[in-house]
Amino acid sequence: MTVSYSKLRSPRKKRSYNIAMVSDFFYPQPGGVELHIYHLSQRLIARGHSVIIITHAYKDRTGVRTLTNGLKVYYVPYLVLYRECTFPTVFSAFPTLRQIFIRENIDIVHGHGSFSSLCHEAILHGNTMGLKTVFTDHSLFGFATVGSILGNKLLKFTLTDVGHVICVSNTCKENTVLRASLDPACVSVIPNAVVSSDFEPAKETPSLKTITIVVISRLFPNKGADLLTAIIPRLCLRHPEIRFLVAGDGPKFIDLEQMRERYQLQDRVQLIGSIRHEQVRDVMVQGQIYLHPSLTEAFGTVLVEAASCGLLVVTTNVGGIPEVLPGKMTVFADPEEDSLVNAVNVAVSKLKQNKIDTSCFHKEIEKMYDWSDIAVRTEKVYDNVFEQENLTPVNRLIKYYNCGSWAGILFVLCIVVDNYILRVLEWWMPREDIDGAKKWPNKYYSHTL
Amino acid sequence: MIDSKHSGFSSCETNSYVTRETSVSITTTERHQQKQFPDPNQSSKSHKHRKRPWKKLLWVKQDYADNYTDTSFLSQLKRNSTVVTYSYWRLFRDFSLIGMHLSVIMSVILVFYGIYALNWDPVRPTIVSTITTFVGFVIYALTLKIRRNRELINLQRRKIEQLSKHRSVSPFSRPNSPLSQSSTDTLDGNLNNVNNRNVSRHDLNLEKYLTEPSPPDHFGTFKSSLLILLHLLTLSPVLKSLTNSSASDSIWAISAWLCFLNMLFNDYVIDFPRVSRVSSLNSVDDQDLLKRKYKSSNLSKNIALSNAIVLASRLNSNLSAFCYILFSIEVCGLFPIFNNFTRRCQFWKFHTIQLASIVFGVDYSMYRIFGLGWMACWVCLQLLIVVAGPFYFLALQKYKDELQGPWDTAHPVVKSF
Repeated sequence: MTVSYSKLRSPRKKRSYNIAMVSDFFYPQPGGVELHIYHLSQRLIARGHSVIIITHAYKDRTGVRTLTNGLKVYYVPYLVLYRECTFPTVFSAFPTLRQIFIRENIDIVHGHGSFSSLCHEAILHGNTMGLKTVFTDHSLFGFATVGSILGNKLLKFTLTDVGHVICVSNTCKENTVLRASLDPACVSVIPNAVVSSDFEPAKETPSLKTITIVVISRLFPNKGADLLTAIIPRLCLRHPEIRFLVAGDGPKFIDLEQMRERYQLQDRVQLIGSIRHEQVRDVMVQGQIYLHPSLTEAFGTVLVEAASCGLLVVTTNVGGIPEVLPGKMTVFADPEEDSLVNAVNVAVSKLKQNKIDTSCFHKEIEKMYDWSDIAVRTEKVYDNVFEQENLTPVNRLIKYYNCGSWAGILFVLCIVVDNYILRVLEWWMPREDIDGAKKWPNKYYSHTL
Repeated sequence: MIDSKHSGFSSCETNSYVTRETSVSITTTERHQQKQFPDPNQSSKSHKHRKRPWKKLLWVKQDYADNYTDTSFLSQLKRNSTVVTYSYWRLFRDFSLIGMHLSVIMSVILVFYGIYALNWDPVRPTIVSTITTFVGFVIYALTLKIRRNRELINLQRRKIEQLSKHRSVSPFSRPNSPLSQSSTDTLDGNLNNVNNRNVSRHDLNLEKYLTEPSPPDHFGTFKSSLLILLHLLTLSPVLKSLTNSSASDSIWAISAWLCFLNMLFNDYVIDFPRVSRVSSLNSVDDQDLLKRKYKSSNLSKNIALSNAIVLASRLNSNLSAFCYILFSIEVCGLFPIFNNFTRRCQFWKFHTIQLASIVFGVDYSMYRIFGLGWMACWVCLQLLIVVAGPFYFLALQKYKDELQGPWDTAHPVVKSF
């Protein structure tokens, strides 16, 4: 341990790793995990590492693609089951993953998202192959339903032998520690960030004659779409100067439309439908208040984006949201209709009385959340994981066996089979026969930093 | 970090981390603090300079490693907060339904045995069951009619009150603007929204806001039962010879399995949800949900019918096959519906009478047909389920470990619908 201290203290000996980010979720599909993977990878490349991304094929997008700065993406053709998650088989991806890991000379396998079965498989096989593994959890899970019980067992299976876990908020960390029975010291909290240059506030702030409340949310029940439908008419009745701008699509879109017609609010509630991520800023800067009625949220990147655009944020205090923004940028509410209405009233009166200066938000957010900082902190996790010695196979089996009376036996069986498959693969496709991929030259970027 | 992680047994410690109480976990987190990442800033600073306490915030740059675990870790964790403590007698009541359903199944088997092996006259049990069914239907239809009318009267009375109140409260609000509805938000009762909506639409039809199910249509019921009877009668020769090519043994095996599945899939609901009037108004979805709530699964009834057909195919005359199937439909299909109805209407005494007469009737016929030994076995099985079952259920409660915290999806409180 002392050796690692001294190594870390001297930045000259900074290692460069070959990292494989594995997740079912990546572009062209939009979303928070996708954004996280892309930006983190870019910043890690800028710090002199070599990063590849492994995901499943999206329709005709299969094969290998290279994005900006030599970020290589493997779109592996797998059967997609539900909401862009691949079919959960324990072993089927092993040959492909092994090929990629060896070709790219991978040191660290970094999986993202607990819904992604590809990520679970990659961590399992990475451990079997003796690579270092890191897992990032982006979502919160309950414990009550049958689905979450199964999901948590699966997560426990994957994380039993993982090198380190990253969570996007402290609440997420508590949740993950409980779900997978982890040692809290093995779990780091590293938040998401925003590219602040993409979320500049409007050049001239819109006048306060009409106050526009922006809502950008997928309109699902767990995003609080019912609350939104309930409070819009009440707020419109109370404040004649308010107008709403709702972006996002989902099953509750029809409810919103019906509400708008029933209360004859067509001229005051604008429903845009789904928008692309690059349009988010242009929608946000049309308003003064960002309303977020979500019922569960691990981090809530959109809140940071809204604050960065100079909007006052009104949000429910659920999940990890209370940790994300300072109190002066936000008005918190309980996930209740009355409480949300009050919070919006407070926000409106704050704006009208000029109590807060939203123009300074952008600069402050820029200091708080920066992808480069996130990359440095993630790198620290990699350093730490790289110092760890791999478990001996027997100790690994013992660790899995302790996972539960029946689950333990099942887990051990899976690990043993996985080891056998690895042997078969070593014989069938020997390591020497696999050509190494040529790395993107990254000298220029390591100089600039 | 390396030492403890690779001892191989460290996962025992981490597993127990969760099962222990929260207060204990704080001491373990203190232990974990030694295992943090090395912090480069830490060494440069003098130890005199005390660190600021850690805050659970992401936007502050704090002087702690990313995997630092504070003593407040998991302080918001709640355990078993929604767990109900069960009382033995309540469980006994719930489990008695299983005993009753077993008796119902057994009564069908007994009658079959009587017709098949003891040469009973098949018409007699069928006549008894048919008369009982008819009486039951009359009670069912009358009660539903009475309850529905009573509710309608209540609703009308409250509506009249509301109408007079509404006129006095908001004389200035434009009657056509739907927004004027929310001005009366503060009025009491579930009904005001119903009435507001009615007022704005001048809609006086209250029938659709009733929560009581409507009584059955007499002519329709008569027609469908006649149809089923005639079908059964015409099909009875076919049903009788249905399994001529199979041995009796396989029929007994199939029947045993069907009875078992019947018991497994029966809907043992004892407390019916009280439907609030507001929720029934929300949308089409909610009304569907309501219907689904009221409609119990018909799987066990279908299984019972197939059991009756399989067994009837072993009988030797068309009449006995017809009578037996009719008897089974009435006992296994219609009686559970009637019993559910008595429980939904909270006629607990009537329910107890039904339960006792069925259970003891079957016990007595067991004694008459099979003798004391078999009856003792049967009563023991019943007691095992009804008396020992609740004890076992209560004993299992200590394994309950419900975890709740800020990560759970919040339940939104929406009221103005």
